[in-house]
Amino acid sequence: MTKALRILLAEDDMLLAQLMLLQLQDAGHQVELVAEGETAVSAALSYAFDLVLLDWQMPGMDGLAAAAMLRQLGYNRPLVLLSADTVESSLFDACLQKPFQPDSFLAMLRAVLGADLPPQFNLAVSPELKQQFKLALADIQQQLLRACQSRDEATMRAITHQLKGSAESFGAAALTAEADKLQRLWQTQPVQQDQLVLLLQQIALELQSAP
Amino acid sequence: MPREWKILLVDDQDYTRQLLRNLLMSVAPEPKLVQRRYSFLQASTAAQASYAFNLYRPDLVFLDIDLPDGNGLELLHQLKESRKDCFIVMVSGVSTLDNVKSAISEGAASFIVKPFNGDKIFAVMQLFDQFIEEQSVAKKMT
Repeated sequence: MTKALRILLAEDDMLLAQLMLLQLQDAGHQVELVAEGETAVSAALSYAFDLVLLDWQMPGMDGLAAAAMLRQLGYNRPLVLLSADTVESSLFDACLQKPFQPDSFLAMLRAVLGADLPPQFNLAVSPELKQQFKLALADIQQQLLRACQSRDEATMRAITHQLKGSAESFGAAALTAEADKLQRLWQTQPVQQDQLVLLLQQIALELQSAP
Repeated sequence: MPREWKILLVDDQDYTRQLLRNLLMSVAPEPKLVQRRYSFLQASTAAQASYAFNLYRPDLVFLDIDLPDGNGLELLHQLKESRKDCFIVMVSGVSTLDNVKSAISEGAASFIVKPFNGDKIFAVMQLFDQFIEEQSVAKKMT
């Protein structure tokens, strides 16, 4: 049995995507589903997936273009093309022929994952650096409170953006997740101070946590 | 004594530059990478970055897109104008594809979406090895 994988599936045919999703989940894997090549590239760049499955034909950026862009940027993890035809391309580690068969998927996994995969890094951040982040976070907390009082929307956005990009690296994943949620919310809704309550709570928790 | 390769880190947050430096130092000994000696230069503004770039001629630049005194993409354009063969990695907290595409069209070698981790740094360093290899092949041909 292969270990549970984190799989990104880019497929615009929703019915087929649902079917593949169920089959992959059934086999014990975690799957995130996207329907466009562009979204697939953004998601893959998080390096949060062991395997990316790209449909060839998608609206906008197709699977080949998405793979070409990822490889150009140095993306070094397995990419698998989903296609009704067999396609020869050096961008991909494998081509999985549609319709999707669980057996062929497992065989493909064995072939791809048996290959020479990049090492995975799980690096510890030094306590000094964590402490440095915590000191900066205390400042950030004050800035954010002031911005809330003066309804300074630009600063609220800037700080949230900064936290999304940095907190997780210092072990504060919950803080990054909360900041990410706010950024997404603000894409469609106006900024309001009360939306920041949870973020401020997370900051306070982080500041209280042991070094 | 092998030459020392210079890496310029551009970000307005001290702790972020420090984190990036630590990650680079931790990833560098990985046997799948070409073993090199690295030294680090740091800049917290576009102006400082531009100055350090021209003075020290770094081999590799990590350039944050949001800088207090300017846009990282504009700086990328300037740096590539002045030295076309420099390997520049854009860094951003936002992974919109427009940013990625603009960075590629301005000549960025890669694009890292924050938060940083070892896997992202390793992929970039592999690409850097490949870039240096291609450059040395191209030099031999001419």
